Amino acid sequence: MSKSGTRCAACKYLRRRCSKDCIFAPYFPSNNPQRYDCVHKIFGANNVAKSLKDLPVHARAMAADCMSLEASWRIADPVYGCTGVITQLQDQIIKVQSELAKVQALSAIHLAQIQTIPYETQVVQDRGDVDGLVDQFVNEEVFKFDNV
Amino acid sequence: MSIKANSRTRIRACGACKFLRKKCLEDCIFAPYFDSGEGIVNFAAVHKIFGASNVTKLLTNVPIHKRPDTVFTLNYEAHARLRDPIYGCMSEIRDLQNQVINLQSEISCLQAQVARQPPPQQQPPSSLSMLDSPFADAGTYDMSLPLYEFDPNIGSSHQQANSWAANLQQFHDHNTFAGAPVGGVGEEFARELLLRYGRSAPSMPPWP
Repeated sequence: MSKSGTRCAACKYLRRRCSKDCIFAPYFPSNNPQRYDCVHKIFGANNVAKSLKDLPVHARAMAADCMSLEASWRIADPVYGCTGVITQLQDQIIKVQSELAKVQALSAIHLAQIQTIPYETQVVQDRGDVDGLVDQFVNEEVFKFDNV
Repeated sequence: MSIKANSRTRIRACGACKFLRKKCLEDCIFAPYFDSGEGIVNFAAVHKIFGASNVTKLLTNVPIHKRPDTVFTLNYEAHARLRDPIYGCMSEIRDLQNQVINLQSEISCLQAQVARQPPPQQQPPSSLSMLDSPFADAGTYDMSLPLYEFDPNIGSSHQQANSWAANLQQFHDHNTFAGAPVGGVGEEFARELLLRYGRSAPSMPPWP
């Protein structure tokens, strides 16, 4: 039973008396009935109770939070649930890795540019300078793309 | 297994019905997705976490062509929760989110580094912004603009080098040069890069 003496969200949903040692009460307060609704629809009361009882007390709050999130994602997307979120994150990582490779390449270009000889000296002093710059740029930066 | 004259019972029980020790009917909702081999193990996991009636309700509310994916993801979540009873799938989601954050902060650091670097040594009499070409001489920076606009459609990996070089050429083509006397090693560098990995140098537009 919650501290205020009212039934917890689970016991309200299940229409039963909320005992003092109700396993749901600390994690499914009466002020958030949707949280328990989701969890009940996806996991079921018995499964949630069993899962929480099998865990040490200090881990139950986190487990209840994670189950609530997973249940709400499954209700929002009955086919993919939280694996849809995983897929989206994996796609995002690929895009950001690609973006990072671009920025690294740009940074290398910029560095190469500020290392060039002064403008007044139009002639390339040594052909090797250019070849060296190109090799360095390509080997160190550009072909990181290949692994994206 | 049982065979009756007017049987609606399947010849071979599916993995779910074997686990539940009941007759597997022809219209068993689990039969297409839980075979009598590995299906038993998978159903055991799904049953432990979600329960048979919840899974039945979930599958009933999903179109038939989406049910294989639904079963696959339920299986995935159930196994994740069995491996990690506290976090379940959330630990993988948390790790992926951290990866995204780390990559984004790396990008921000690099961009800040580029912004802090001194301008190029060349000092041409030009009103051109450095950002008009990565190889052009520039007298001023316009830090309000993005440093470089790449084509996001990079393509397959074996085309990376050509696409990148094509992007450089495209970027070069699309930027105007208001009489900028560009040259020196920067231009030579650009030509060499394109020569090796993209278009040949003669195809580059003439510098104004």
